[in-house]
Amino acid sequence: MNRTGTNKNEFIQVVVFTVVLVVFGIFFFAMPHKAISFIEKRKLSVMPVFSWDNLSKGKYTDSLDLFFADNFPFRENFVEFAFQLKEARGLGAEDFAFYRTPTSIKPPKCGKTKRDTLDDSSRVKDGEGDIVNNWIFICQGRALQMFGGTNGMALAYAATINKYQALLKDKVTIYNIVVPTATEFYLPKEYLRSTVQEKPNIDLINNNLSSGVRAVDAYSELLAHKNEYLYLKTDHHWTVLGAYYAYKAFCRSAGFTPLALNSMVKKSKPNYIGSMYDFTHDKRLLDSPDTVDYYIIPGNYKTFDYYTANQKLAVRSQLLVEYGWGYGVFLGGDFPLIKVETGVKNGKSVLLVKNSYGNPFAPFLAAHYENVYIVDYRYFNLGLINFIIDNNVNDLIFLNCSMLANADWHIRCINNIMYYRNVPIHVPKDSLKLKHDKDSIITKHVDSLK
Amino acid sequence: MLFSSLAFLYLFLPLNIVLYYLFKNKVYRNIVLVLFSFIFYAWGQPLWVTLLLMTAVADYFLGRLIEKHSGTSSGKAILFLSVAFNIGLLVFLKYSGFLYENINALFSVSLEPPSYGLPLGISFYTFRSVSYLVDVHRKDIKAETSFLDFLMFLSLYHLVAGPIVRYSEIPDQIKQRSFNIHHISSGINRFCIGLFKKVCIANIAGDFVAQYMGGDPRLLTTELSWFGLIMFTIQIYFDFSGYSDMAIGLGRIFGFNYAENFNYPYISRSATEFWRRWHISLSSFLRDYLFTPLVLKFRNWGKSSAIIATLITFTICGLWHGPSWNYILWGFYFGALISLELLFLKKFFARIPRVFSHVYLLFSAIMGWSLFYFTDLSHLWNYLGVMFGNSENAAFHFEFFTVLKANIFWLIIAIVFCMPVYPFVEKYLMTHSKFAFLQPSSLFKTVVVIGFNICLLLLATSMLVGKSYNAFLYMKF
Repeated sequence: MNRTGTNKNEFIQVVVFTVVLVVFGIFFFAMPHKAISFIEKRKLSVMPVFSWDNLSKGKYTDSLDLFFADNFPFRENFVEFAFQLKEARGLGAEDFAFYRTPTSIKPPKCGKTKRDTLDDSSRVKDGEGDIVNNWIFICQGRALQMFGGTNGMALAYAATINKYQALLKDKVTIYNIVVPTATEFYLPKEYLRSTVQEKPNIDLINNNLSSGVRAVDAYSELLAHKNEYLYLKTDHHWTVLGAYYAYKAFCRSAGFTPLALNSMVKKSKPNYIGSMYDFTHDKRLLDSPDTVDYYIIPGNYKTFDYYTANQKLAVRSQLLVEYGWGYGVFLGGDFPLIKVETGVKNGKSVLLVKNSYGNPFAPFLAAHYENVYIVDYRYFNLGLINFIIDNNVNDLIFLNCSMLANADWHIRCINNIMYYRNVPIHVPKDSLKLKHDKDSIITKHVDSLK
Repeated sequence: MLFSSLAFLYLFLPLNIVLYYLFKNKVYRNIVLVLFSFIFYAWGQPLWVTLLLMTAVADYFLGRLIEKHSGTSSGKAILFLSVAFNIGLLVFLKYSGFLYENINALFSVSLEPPSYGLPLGISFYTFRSVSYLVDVHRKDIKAETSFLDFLMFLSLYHLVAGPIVRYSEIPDQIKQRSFNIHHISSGINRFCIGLFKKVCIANIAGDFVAQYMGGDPRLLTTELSWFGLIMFTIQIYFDFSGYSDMAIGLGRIFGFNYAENFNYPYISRSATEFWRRWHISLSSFLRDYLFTPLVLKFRNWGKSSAIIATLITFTICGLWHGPSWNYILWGFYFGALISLELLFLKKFFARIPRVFSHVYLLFSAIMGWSLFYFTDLSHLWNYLGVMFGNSENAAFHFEFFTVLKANIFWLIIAIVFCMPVYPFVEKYLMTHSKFAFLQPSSLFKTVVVIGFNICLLLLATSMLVGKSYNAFLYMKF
């Protein structure tokens, strides 16, 4: 072929390349842009508003870059392909893998307060504040978050619980439940060096509680049943069965007779792929989906969700929101305050301070108390001490997993809710099953009650 | 804006190509390039383009003035002032914070360092300006008479991060660029290879570097610290050479022919050779405008003149890379190595098998990168402590083999592409008759090249889009 032929071929190369670039550019403008990525649980960037100030500081163009990246044509396909490419970079071990988690595993900054109540006795030293561990280990179809707790954090957590005891004294009985994560039981022995053992850490917390605080030994109960389905494999939470054994341990400590498992109707939601898959996109997790079981607690209950915790704006809800997706079935997600009025007419009230780990645990309490208050310490914005006194709470339960009991931000949150904080209304942010929009949550709840 | 950003790839570049080739008139084409270059520079720092414009205006007139007074003492004085003006601006903007820090530390005062950012590409366009002014003074080139052409030369966005293209290398291309489809096609090919090197190798290596060199030192073990530093060795080469490839490719797309900037530096057998292969445009710039004049100045000192000139040149070379002591040490380190080679090492390695000199260079380069990475020298010391077992950190963690296994194909590709495999294969295919179907004129080759480029582009795109994936445990609605 002559030079003309070469030129023609090269011309084709140039045209094809340019057309590909141009077509994607046109698609970007022509295709509709999404507002939210539900997989990533975040808002996608929107077209920035132009201002000379933002332009001069470079913020406008930075935002444009983010907007373009978040709304790139066929973004989800490209993201999926990127994960496949990552897997193709080497020989993926058949039995295990591990991932360094992105920094976004840290909690959102919603706990900033005007008044930080963490005093020097419970304040952790600089550098100990963050969750040290940032690995997710995949093993036998299960995701395990390595534990990185420290003695300093454990002592800070215990000091926080003690502070409640000191303030409330004999007005309430305080129970502290710190449960281990799945890593404690399922991490293969050869990798134990890569994590901090949770048992000594939990013991340290319990051994440093004031004499008035009852330490619930959930660890032993879970250990005794570790061959059962106690933790979700694809998610960072536990199962209702794990929560049930912690509840049994609590009953033993509080002098209650626990509900028997066979006295409750068991229901299941199969094919749940949880948060650990969102992080890792590890195929092993996709191939071993979870089943979210839940038990219908016998009796009649009225459940109310409060968005502002002022007990004025109440929305009727349910202990178990059966249309909820996966783990969201328990309490319907996270709310600042949930109040349950039960048919148990014993005049006793309990208040559970928890994060999402407490959601499968909370419903069991309805079998033993007339009033159950469930407070999510991340979103509650009233003063908890006064709330407890005003509502004649008898028992106060702190429930946390070991990992978050060792997290500075969470300890601060539990400290900060002691007293009233005049902060804007919180909209639940950690609901893993409901839509983000406040109105749609209310509408959905109301609709479900019709 | 970065060459490896989605906005550049799919908005800026196609628009630039289309608008550029819409015009046949050379003046309009130069105007398009200047406009796009200014948008590029202004993308993150709109105010700093005024500095670029000001430098261009000043150096345009200074160049003409130097030419007018060439050969006279006033011409020399103007040259001195104009170089001082350019270097002074660079020092003021890039190094004043560093100077403040050192003055504060030295005299126990607390002067507030200036808080303005560094103008994009200033290190590179300053050197382009200086080379232009000196070359005019030396009568190697004629001063540019068209301000538009000079502005285009100084502001070309292709050269924002190298290579340092001198005016003397491309005067004809500034004046007259003919349409050459072969150039454009090879430019696209080169650009895609550079993009792949940057996004698919350097960025991945960079993630490991961030984890191990920039991560929690408590999680570090001996073999992970070595792995981290080797990843940085890979990252910096592919990042920089990838950027240079993209610049050379962009140049060809728009009719320029820039010289090579990297020539497989890690296959070198000495630090001297390494610097002939690494950032060639910088080392040749320093050779011509600093090292040679210094050698001439110290010529009476015999062999010492070369050693002194080498040490000074490389120390300044280190400083050019950043306003921090670690860069100065890094430059001095290479200056010292080259001096030792000059004195005896070169002769020593000539007598022993080649493999030793390769190992020597690789080890030296890798250790050098540790100096380059850590701006805090105490961190460097701690890191080296872990590397050489002088720390309480564990020696081994299963993470190393897991990472190695999970990235082994990628690592092989990265290491192989540090060596001149691509030109070797290309030459082999082009010279053997059984691969005639791959000759430039064949339709098959056209399809292969199109497929190859589009594959590289889409691989890079998916990784860039994948970077925007940011999952949260907690809702961020």
